[in-house]
Amino acid sequence: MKIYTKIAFLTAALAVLFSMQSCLKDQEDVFDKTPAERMNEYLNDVNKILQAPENGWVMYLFPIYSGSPTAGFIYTAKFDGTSVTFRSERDGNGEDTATSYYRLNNDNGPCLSFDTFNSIYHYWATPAASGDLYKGRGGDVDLVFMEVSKDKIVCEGKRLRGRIEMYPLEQDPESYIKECIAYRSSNRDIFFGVRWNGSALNAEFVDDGNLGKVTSNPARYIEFSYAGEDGGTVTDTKAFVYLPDRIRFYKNVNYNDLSVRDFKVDFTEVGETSIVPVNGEDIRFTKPLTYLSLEDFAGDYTLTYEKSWEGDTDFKTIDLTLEVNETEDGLILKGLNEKWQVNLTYDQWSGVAYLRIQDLGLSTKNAKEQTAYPRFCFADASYFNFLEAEPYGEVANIRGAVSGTIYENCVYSFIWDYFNVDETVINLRNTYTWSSSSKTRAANSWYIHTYSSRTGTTDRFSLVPESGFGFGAVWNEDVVTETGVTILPYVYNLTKK
Amino acid sequence: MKKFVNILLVLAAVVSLNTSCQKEDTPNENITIIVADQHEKTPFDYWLDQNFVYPYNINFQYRYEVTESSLSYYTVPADYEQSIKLAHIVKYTCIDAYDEVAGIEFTRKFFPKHFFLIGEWEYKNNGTFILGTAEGGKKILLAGVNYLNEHLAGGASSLNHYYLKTIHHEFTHILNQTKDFPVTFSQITPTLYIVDDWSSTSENCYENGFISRYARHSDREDFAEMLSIYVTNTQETWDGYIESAGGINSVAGTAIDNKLKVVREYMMDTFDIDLDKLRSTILRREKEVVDGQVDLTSVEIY
Repeated sequence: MKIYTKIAFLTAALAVLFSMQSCLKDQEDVFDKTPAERMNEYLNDVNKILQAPENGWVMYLFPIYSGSPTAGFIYTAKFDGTSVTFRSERDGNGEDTATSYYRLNNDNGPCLSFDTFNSIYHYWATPAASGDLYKGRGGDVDLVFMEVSKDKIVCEGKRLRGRIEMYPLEQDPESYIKECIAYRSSNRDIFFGVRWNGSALNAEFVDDGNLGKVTSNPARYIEFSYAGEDGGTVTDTKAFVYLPDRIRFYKNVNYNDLSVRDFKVDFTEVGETSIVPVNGEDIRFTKPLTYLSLEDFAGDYTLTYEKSWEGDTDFKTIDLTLEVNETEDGLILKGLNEKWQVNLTYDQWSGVAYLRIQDLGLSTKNAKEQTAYPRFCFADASYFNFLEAEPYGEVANIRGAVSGTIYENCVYSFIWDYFNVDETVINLRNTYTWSSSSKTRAANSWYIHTYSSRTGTTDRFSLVPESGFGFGAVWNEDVVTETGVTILPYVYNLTKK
Repeated sequence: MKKFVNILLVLAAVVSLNTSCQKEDTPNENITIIVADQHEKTPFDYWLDQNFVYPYNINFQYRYEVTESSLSYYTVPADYEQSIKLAHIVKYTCIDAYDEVAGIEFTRKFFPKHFFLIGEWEYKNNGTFILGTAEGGKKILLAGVNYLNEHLAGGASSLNHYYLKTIHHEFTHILNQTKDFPVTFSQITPTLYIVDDWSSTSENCYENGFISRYARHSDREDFAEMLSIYVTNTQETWDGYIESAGGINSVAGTAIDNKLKVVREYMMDTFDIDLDKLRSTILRREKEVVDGQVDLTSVEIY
C-alpha cells in the first residue's frame, strides 16, 4: 500500500476516534454555582459575620516594620455593613474612636479593604518623609481573609503579610482596651530566664515602655537565645500583645517540642517560678536574681540622721515601718509623721518598690496663709518649679512619677519640711523663700536624698531592705550663697531592724 | 483507489467536524460572572454621579484600590470628608474654569476622565515626594488629600502648590499627549535638563532659565511646569520669578519668556484657549474658594 493510502486510512481512523470522544461523558459541575456567584455569596456572608457581634471585634494588630513583627497592639472594630469604627490602645485609654468606610471585594481572594482613611487603623500604614518611614510603619490597608467564622477571623495583610486575628468582643470595647492597658502597666519591664520543656533558654522581656505613644518600630517582644548546633548563639524575637489577663505571642512559639501561645503571671507561685503558662505547659520563667517580694520589703526600719540648722548639728533616730498595704499591691511607709503616711508602689514583675511623688491627702496653710497641699515629692527633678504667687500650688504641676529620670547613685531629693519628725504637727516654721533670679528653687528647705542601691540595675530607683536606703540633706548651693546660710550636707540611713 | 481514499478523507473531515456537543451551551443571563464589591453608595457617591459622572464622564475615585495605586510607594486611603472638599475644589476651580474659558465640550473631551485620590504623598527614599502623576492621558493621581484642610487654611498659594497646580500640570501632559508641543520649546534651554538630579542640584532654577526646580527634569516637565505655574500665579508673582532670573532682558529671563510664548501660542493655536483669560478665571475662582464663598462640604443633590 502506498504511503498516501496509509496516511488516508490512519486519518480516517483518527476521525472516527475523535467522533467518539465528545459529549459521551456527562460532566457534573463540582459546584452548583459559578465562582463569581460563590464569591459574592461568601462576601455577603462575611459581611454579616462582621456585623454580628454586638460589641464588635477585638483585633490583634502586629505591624510588620522590618519583615517581622516586633510588637502587637489591641484594636477593636465595630462593623455596621458600610462603615467601621476603630479604637485602639494607642491613645492610652481606648476612648478615642475613628469611623471610616470599608469594602469587601475580590482581589486575589476575598479581601477586606479599609478604603477611606481611618486615623486609628491606618496609623501603621501611614508613611512620612523621614528616614525609613517613607515605607510607613508596617501596617496594611487591605487584608485578605484566611479564615472566617463567627468565633474567629484570621486575615493577612495583602502587602506586608502580617497576620491579624479577630475575635468577637464579650464586653464593651473601651473597657476591654482599658483592661489590656492595665495588665500591661503592671506586667512589663522584666528580665528573666526560662526553662522550656526541660531545657534552659535565655529570655529577655522587652517593652519599649511607650504607653500611648508609639515609635516607628515599637518593641513588645521576648528575645529568646540559646546555643545553636554550631556552637554559636541563636536569637529569636517573638512579638506579643497584652490581653486583659495574659500575654499572647504573635504565633505559637515552639522550643523543645513544646508549643506555647499564651502565658501569664501567677505570683501565688512560690520558689523560683513567677510566671506560668496559661494551659499548664511545661515552661518556667525564673525570677530575676535580685527579685524581692512585697513581704521582703515589709518590716521595721530605723532612720538615723543628722539635722543641721545654721551650724547646730542634731542627731536623731526615728523608727519607721514599711507595711504591705490593704490591696497587697504596694507598701506604706509609716512613722515620718503621725498624720501622714507615704505610699510605695511595687512592680511585681521586677520586684522593685518605687517611692514616687504623691499627694498626701491633706490641705493646710503655709506661712503666707495660703492653702497648701502637701505632697511628697522630689525637688531636683528638672521640671520642678516653684512659683512665688502659689508657693505650694506648684507641686500640683508635677504630678506623675519621676522614677524614670532617676539613675543609680544620682542624688534626688524630696521636700522634707512637711515631715518634721521632731513634732507631730505640721511644721511650717521653715518658711520658703525663692531665688529672685530664677524662682525655680526652694530655699531654706530640707531635702531628703534617696540613693538607689539595688544590685544589678543601672536605671532603677528602688529600696532594698538588706542594704537600707540612704537619706541626706543639703542646701541648694545657689540659695545658700544668697541667704548667707552655711549648711553642710549630711547623709542619713534607713536600716532594717 | 486514490479517488476512494480522497472520498474517505473528506468523510473523515465531515465526521470530525460533526462531533461537537449537541447540548446548547448558551450563557445564562441570570448567572453573573462579575464579583461585585460589597459596599453601598455613600452620599458623596451620589453627589459625584451628578457633578462628575453624568456631565463629564469623570470617575472621581476617592476610595482606595490597591490596583490603582503604585506599589512602588507606601500610602494610605484618602479621608472621606477631605475628599469631598477636594472634589468641590477640583470642580469649581478646574473643571468649571475650563468650561468657562474653553467651553464644556473641550472639558468633556480633554479633561482627565479618572481621578484617583490617596491620603498621603508618594514618598521616595531620597526625602522627596510626589504630589501627583498622570497616566495615559486619562488618569490623574492626587496625593496628600489628608493634608487638604491644612493647605486650604494656607490660602490659594498653598492650595495651588500642593493640589491645583498638580492638576493643571498633569492636564498639560494630557493635552501634550493629544497634541505634542512644538519642538522649538525644547530648543530654548536644550542642554540644561538634568533628569533626576533636579532635586539635588544647588543651582538656582530661575538663573538657568527655568520656572521651577522640577522644570529642569526634562522638556516635557518644563512645559507642564510653565503652564501650570503661569495659570496659578498672579502677574506680579510671575514678574517676581522673571526678576529672580535676572530680569526680562537677561539670558535666563528671556529664556523663560520665550518658553511662555511657545506655551501661549500652543494653547491658542491648538485649543483656542487664551492663556491669560484662563489664568484670570482660575485665580478668581480660587480666591472665591479660599474666601469661603464656595460650599465645599455639601453632598446635597439638587
